Amino acid sequence: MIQTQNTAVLKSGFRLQRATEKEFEALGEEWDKLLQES
Amino acid sequence: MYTWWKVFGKGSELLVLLVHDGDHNLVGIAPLYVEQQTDHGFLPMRTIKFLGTNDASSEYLGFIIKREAEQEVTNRLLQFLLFGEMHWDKLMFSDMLCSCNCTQLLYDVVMCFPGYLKVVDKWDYPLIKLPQKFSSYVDSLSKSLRRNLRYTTNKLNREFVCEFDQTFDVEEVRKIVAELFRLHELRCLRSRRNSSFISPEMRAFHMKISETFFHKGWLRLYYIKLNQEIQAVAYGFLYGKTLFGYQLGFNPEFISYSLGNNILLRTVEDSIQSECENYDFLRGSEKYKHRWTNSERQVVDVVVYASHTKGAACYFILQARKRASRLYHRAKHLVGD
Repeated sequence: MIQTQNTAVLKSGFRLQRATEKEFEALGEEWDKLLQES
Repeated sequence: MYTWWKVFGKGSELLVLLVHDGDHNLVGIAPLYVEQQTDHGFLPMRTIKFLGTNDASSEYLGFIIKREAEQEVTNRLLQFLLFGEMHWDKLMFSDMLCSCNCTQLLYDVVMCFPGYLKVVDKWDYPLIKLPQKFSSYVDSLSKSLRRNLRYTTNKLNREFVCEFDQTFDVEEVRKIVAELFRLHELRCLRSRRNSSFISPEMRAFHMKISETFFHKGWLRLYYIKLNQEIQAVAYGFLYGKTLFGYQLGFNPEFISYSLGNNILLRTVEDSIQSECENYDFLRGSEKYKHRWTNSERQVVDVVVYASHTKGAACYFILQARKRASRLYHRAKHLVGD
């Protein structure tokens, strides 16, 4: 896992990111969509 | 969740982790925050929790992960939390639905990591598995409950102009939620008990979230009017095939009319007509809920303590308290016998 201050690129190619409050607020529809796919 | 954070998150640190795949699609969310809390009255513990924990009594918390990526994303999120640069004393994964695949994965991964102190608690809460016909459901209730419902429904219709309805009007939502708070407060005053539901923060949260859920088509707000005055409210959410009953409120002046039972019965009837498969009573195992169902579902709390001195101290104090409480109840039982 390669880690920087707010993101980490995982071996599998997945990217892990710590969201800011603005990014969290903007998630709305993406959040609902993921909830349905989970 | 954002609404919850804005109302209840003051003084805490947001920790929402997002996982994207190679094509930039969002495949996982860890909705978390960090709270500086005091455990056992004196131990300051930097605690990571799910957003929604505590104040609003949320349940079904957990990571949100696309089905096909569950294993990989769960592993990576936990690796990040357990072995990354985050500093914490306690990881609190609470109120997760046991039957959810993500919960099982999280549980398996956490329990496999050596070197941490862990506490697992499971809770069973009532849930009605709804039949296709309302009459079949009524037949499944006990004789005494059916008799009570028949008697009080007749009494209500005889003595009042009694209307049961739900709101489909956004303007009305605020008014009816305000009524719910008023009725709940009346009951608390009458029974001289405190309730976190009537705090200003809870009021602000539900005023906002009820409107949001209304626009999403999830809100279910039922009421009973007696002579044109609202005297009972049932506040819930419809998601998927389940109606989640969040809160009932009714005027204690009408206790002999069993308004709580009556509004619950009508709500269940409407759930069946809306082709729901479950009516979920949510948190709590109060006696009255067991009069309506024999089924239950299980939630689990998994708490991980850091292995440094403070984490270990907190863990061992908790274990000692649990043991003392068990001994106390056993002794009380023996003395009672």
